[in-house]
Amino acid sequence: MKKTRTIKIDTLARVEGEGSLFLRVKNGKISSARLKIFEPPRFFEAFLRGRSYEEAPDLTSRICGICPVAYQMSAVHAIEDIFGFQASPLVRSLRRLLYCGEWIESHALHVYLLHAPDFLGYDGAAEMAGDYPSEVERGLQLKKAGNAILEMLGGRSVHPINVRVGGFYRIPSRKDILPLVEILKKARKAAIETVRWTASFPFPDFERDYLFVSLRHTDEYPMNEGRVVSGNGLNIPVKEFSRHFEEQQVSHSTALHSVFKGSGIYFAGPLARYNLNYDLLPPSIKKAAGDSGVGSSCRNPFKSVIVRSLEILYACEEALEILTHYDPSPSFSSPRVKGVEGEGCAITEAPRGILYHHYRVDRDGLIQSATIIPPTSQNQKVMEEDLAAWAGRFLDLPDEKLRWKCEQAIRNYDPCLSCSTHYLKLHVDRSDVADA
Amino acid sequence: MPDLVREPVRLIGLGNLFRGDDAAGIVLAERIRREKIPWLEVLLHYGDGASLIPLWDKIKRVILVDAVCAGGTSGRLICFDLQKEAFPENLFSVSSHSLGIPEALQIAKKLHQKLPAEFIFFGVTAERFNLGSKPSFNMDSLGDLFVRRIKTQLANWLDPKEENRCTSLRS
Repeated sequence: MKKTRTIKIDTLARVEGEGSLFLRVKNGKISSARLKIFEPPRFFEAFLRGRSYEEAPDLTSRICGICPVAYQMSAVHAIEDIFGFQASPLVRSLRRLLYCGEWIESHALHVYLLHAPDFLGYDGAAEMAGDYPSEVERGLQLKKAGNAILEMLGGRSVHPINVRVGGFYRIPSRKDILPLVEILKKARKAAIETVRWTASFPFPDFERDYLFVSLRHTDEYPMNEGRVVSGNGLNIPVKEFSRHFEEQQVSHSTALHSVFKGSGIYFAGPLARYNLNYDLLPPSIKKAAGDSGVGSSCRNPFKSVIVRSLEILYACEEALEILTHYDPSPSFSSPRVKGVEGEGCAITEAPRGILYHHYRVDRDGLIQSATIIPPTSQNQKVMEEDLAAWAGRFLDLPDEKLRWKCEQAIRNYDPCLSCSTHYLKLHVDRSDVADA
Repeated sequence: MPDLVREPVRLIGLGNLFRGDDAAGIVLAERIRREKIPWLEVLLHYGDGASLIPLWDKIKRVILVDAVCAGGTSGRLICFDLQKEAFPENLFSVSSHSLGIPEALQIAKKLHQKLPAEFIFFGVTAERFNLGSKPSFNMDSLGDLFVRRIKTQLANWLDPKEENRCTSLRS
């Protein structure tokens, strides 16, 4: 038997973006587990410099076509933080509604088309659709419902165009939003079925002692606002995020890694939100969670598919609640925000976890620096740890089957690989040329 | 063309305006939209394949247009009848999202009545997809050819003739 074995998966299937896995086994143990992201660096932080702060929401939304709202929300909140601007309750509700739309469509895509095939033994959604057509139809219905919110409120579902600093370019009337009510009532029924369906999947017995990090709000499940909390007691305003978390460059990935200073590797995303904010969920969601067997906490990353299903249900109910009470004054419009020199930051909960934006703006309103830390970047280290722990159980399998097990471990995180490659620092060593 | 009541046709242009040749589907769809053909509805789609399926649901005649990786010179127009021909999946080796057109087509085929009765795909051969890059060919001149091909296809649906039939790799 070989003492050293190398497993390489050159292209990860059913994840967004381009990445690969590298696993080295030595003397029967895993000596190295790496998630290699080879999406080209995208330099958004660099080309934001010199642009007006007003362009930040539209430019950063181009980072991702699946979670553009997350980038827009983190951008507007970070810019408004610089100017000390507080959005009105109406704008706050609409922003939450927009985020509900994104959670629904992003989670539905992941649950039905990317993750479910793993549990049911299919190579992909196309094969699964042959045996589970009603279920796939239900997933498409949910995605369409989420997109309907984005189209109505954002102007379009991919890279919405109605979001700006201060609020929205156009505030919808009550008549505009009413068609969404029936769509979301049907989506809510589909979401309930989604929770029941995912709860029936066969799950491996796999739990680790994760250090979860998420936002926490005083009285609602977090989306746009809150403090940064962790499972080991951290509770800080967003302004202090960079004092506690830092990015590191690694040689095997074009995406920067993140660490929690003093604590190490951490885990952001739906499981983190759920574990740190379960008490803030409405009774209906807690009941669904109880019926699904998840309960008030979950440390099995494979069961993240149930937690995402619960978040779809939550987003449907939250959206309906907002729509029910929505009644804007016909004369209401979002204020223009006057810019001042300064710096500010914000974190919002993208479907995949906390998304940090920081900007520094000069007195002409031009961006001098930008820092964007997506959730998938932050989860790279914990994904690699999971990979090592999970794959270590299956070293007796032939390479092909072991590869499949490795991919499953990564898909638990619904990684958005093209989001995570936002900036690469380039250092050129010319010392040998100078000395020549 | 004769002024008759026609079955509505939906043309969906797919792509990304910021990724070089990947803008082709969007640019050509906007070009045909300017012709203002009354029974032709033009949609632009920037997203993933999963959200594409509802766009052709319950529509009898659909045309898709998108950039493809077919090798050779970029800026050529190729055509497939998606109801009659197997769709070469290697045309989409590049995708910035998790579900592309081939996957969407496969899923739709498995679902009940999820493919249009008349379903044509126009591919624009492409070579450059980097974010922020300019197209590698002149899209304006291709637009004129595209308009002629679309009008031919629409005429064929009104009055099927062998010379108007969509065949693969003909540009």
